[in-house]
Amino acid sequence: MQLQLMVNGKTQTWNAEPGTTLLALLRENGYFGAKFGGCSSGECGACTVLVDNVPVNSCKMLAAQAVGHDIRTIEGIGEHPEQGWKKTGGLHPIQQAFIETGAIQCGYCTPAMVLAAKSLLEKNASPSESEVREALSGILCRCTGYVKPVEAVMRAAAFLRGEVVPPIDGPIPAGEWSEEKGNEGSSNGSYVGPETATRVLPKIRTMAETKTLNTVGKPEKKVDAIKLAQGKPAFTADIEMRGMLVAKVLHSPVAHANIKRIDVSKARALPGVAAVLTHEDLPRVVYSTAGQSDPIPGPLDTFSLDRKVRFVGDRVAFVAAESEAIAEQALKLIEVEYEELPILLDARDSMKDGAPILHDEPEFVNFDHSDASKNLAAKIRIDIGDVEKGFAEADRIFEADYVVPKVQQAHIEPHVVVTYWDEDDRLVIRTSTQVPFHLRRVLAPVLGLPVKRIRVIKPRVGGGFGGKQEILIEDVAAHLTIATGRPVRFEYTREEEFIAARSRHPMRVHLKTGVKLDGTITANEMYALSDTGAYGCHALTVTGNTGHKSMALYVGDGEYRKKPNIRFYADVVYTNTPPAGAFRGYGVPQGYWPLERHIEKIARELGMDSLEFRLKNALRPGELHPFSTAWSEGREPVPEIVHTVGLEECVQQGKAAIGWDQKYNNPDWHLVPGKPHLRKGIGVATVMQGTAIPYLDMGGASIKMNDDGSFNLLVGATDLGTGSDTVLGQMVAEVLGVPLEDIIVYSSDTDFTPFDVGAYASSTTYISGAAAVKAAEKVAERVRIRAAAMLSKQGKEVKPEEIHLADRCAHAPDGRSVSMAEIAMNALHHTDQEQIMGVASFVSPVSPPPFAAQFAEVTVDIETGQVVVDKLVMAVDSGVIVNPVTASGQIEGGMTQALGYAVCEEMVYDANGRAREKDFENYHIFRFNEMPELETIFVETYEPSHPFGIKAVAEIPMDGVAPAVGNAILDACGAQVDENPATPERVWRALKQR
Amino acid sequence: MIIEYHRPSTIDEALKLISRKKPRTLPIGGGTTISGSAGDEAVAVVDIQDLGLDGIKIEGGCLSIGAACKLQSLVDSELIHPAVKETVLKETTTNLRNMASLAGALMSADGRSPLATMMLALNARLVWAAAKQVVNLSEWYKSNAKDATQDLILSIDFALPIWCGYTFSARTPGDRPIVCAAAALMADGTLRMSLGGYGASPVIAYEGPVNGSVAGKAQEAYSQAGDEWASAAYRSETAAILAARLVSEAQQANG
Repeated sequence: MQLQLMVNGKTQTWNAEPGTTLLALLRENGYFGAKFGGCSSGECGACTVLVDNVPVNSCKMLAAQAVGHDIRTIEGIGEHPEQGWKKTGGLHPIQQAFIETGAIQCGYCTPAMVLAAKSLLEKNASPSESEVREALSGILCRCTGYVKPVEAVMRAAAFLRGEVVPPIDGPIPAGEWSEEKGNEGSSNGSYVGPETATRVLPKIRTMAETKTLNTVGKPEKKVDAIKLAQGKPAFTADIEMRGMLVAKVLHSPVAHANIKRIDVSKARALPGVAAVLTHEDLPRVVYSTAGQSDPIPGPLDTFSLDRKVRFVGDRVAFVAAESEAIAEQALKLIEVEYEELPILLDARDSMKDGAPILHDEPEFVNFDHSDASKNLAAKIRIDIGDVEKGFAEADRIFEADYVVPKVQQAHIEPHVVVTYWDEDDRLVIRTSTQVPFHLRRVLAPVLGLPVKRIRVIKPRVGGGFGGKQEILIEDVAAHLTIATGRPVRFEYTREEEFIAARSRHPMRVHLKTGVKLDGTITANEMYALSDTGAYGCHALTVTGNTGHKSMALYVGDGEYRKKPNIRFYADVVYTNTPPAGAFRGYGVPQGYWPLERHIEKIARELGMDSLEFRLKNALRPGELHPFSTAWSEGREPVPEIVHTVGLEECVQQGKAAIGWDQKYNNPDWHLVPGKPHLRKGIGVATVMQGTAIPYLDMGGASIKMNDDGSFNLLVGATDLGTGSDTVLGQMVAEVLGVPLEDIIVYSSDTDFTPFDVGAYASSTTYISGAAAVKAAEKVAERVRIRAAAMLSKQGKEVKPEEIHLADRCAHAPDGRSVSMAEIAMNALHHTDQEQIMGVASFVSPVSPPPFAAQFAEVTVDIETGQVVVDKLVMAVDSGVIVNPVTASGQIEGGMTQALGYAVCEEMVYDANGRAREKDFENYHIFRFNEMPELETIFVETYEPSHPFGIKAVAEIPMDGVAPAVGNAILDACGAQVDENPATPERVWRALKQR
Repeated sequence: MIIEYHRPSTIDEALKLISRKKPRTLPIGGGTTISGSAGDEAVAVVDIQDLGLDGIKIEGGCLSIGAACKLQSLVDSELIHPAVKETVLKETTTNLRNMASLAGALMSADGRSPLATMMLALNARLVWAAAKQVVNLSEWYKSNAKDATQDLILSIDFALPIWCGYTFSARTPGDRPIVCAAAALMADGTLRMSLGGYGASPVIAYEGPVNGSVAGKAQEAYSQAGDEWASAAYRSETAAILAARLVSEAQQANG
């Protein structure tokens, strides 16, 4: 049918099928600002457009329904203010506010938020915060925690009302800091606070070292924000190619079976089907889907297509067709006869005699202590000190069991890839990935291509959180491109994300802790039974981190501090469930739920203040990371000293922010007037993480100077929305003495950018940032040499080392200067021509841990068990903060993900291994309008191993929210909830067991 | 798969299309259930947006809401009781409320629907066009005939209560309820209590005078309500607690 639609004020006449959705039609015609999101019932809202000025989900509206209505997309809202000679109206104030406040992280949902905000503000010029939250509640965001988008809308509203909007980096009101001081945290830093924030900026206790910097430490706008605010076609799926096919995968309906027979003849005969592939068509190459450095620290147990299926959702066949509908139809025509095998769903049964064996394939390649004959994907045995002696010396022994669930990364952009042969017969893989270089290396043998004939392009990524540290779907499209010679697009639906992607490893954890009556921990032991699902991707390393990061925090006190007694044992086993993998925090949240719940119980049993107990036993500056002598992800460990620990100061600031001293032991505060069934509670968890993997994680950067004195910064690091492109650019700008706008950042493309392991292990700002700084220093050296020559030629001789770079100029001590543009023109065109550029890489011998104190305030219904989290505070020592807006965005987003881990997120399977959660209705992630108050405080230390003193920020917010909530529930009502999430029924049961 | 799209301008025209046997022809208000869902069956859809069925009016102590009335219109209307608005807000997101119609929401609701739970408590009635009959929503849910009709709902009507309330237990404030309860107190003193959070549709747990037996009836109504989301023990005990809270509110409201 032919439809006439009014889009952004213009009448468009397009052909469409009666069932074509408005989203499909808009994207088909180049309106890429509305995103797919993968959902089936409109839960995510990434596809939002305005119809008659109200936000609707274009994926749930037929295009025909929109005839006669006014459709507005992000493309009609505003545009880049500078388009050469053409003058434009510029960005809309809402877009501008989103950019300024750091409301844009991955940017996938930004167009939807901007449109919903526009609709609101045109009806209500002075909305309250709750009205903003309600108006935007149709849009899910997994990155921001919603804090900054709300601030953006409030800021835009004020601007549109004609009010004067204060600058983002304005001064902070005095009196917001706790007067009590901690241990000042650092071996070589000194505080210059208090000075803090407007609403947008978090509180930051800054360091003297960052005080004089121009770009580092400043809330610079994200370098990709303008394009994302406009909804530019920046994501993997935002391209159309001539002749592109659509791929689909047939997923197994059974949890464990051999494929006895598979007949694809009817599917292949269907008009419009270009290829159908089964295990009979592909070479049998065993590999791991884990995106990690070589050698992969885990078993090789996966094939692109196998003759056996191991979970409901496992792959059976691939189809490529002219349209999605034809591909779907073809899947239904594939006949499969399964020989069903006994299934294994409970990790406690995996190693029992007679258990069904998942990996009996002869190609299985062991790593370390994995043993397929026992369903054992990895085994960890770490003993530090003399644990048994420590237990013998204890006055009390505390033992308990804890359970942590399987949860999903739930990035709003699904996994998506486009593959095609280029004109040189090289395979191009355009994909939403965290690990482009690992992907190229791992897939080369799987596809039968040498590395040099594969090019991986990473466009903007719509969130990853570890889910895209996986080589998950790229092989599907690549095999189909090889089979057909044509471009292929493959994008997961939300259901596929739940049944056939990766998740956080669920674990059962036993803790045993020996303690003196004075609160000294004498020995601490953790055993984790970790469920890797059907494949062992990340099995060893995720579970290793469970102990490595959590059990390192409490070393004991006195003599025990000098020689701690710690044991961490783990078995990582296969089950017939969807594979686990990398998820932000990478095993560490699984360690901190049990540990911090356990520590709270011990403190209360001993009658000690729980924070005092924690700090008494916690790691301190200058001490050895206890695990650094014992374990390093399957490689040789090297001892590491932890130089900076801001934990005590974090505790002090966090306590002040949440009002700990007024609430913790105050019986009146725990009651809710007029609501006898409600109790309030407050809880805390202290945590540490890591910063990259020492001696392994490597980042590279290349910088070249352009004619106008600007610089191209090419990095292999992969910005998933975290802002890493921006902070890397800030560091380079700082070294080169130019504003950030003169740094053109590009990431990443395996053909053009230097190698980088990718975005994981909280490594990018630290590792890739150090590489970028090194490259910038090389460029700066060339710039100084040339500037010195230019200035010397004009007058008094100047030595290069005397040149100071600042304000886009090279300055001599006597006040003379030449501009970067003059230096560039001189270098490229005038004298002894050269391309000024620098390439560098960085690998660290240490992994300096960030530390944090995370606080939660809850209200518990003591009759129904329902928990409402009222406030979360996180005070964090992440070293020097390069960009307080992007860094606090990381904290807020991480806390929100962790909040789901605390109260609502889990993946459950029935007796046949079928998933309960297949969409965002059943798998609930927090929305705009149900969030607690979030507060972020940065307590800076100066990490000496990095040129700007930084440590990681990305993963640590995941660690302490759930146990802080668990401890707050205990504080509220005495219920010991040892399994998260703390659902109403779990709390209700715990209340009955008091 | 949708093979035809129609947008009639009269109810008669719509009924003529809907009454066809082939292709099966379904009315759509917002279309949020069917759009973008690739079912196997070839169906035609009749878009009722031009039929003028989106009004909200009070007549003779009865509230009548047009079948095509958007859920957000209920939130925005001054005629709608705050407790009903709360269930609409809990039903779905802002974007979907801007699209979904009340009739469509009730037809596609399952037991976890706060709105359907409230509408049961209000003893809502479905006014059908072709059959020219009025069917209680509770009867409709019991008949399990959600997709079998070749008819069109014109409006959803209910008598205005003197008080109504809603409460729930859920994992988060915005999540689908594990257990929810809605109650309406009518002018004649009759209290109608419904439960949701479980099963294919909400259920009526109690109808009668306000007295001490309501909580027990709620407990009994959910005594077998166990599924993958919660045990029957939790649901039945919580149903009783929620029911007792609503009874207390009703008593306060009734002086």
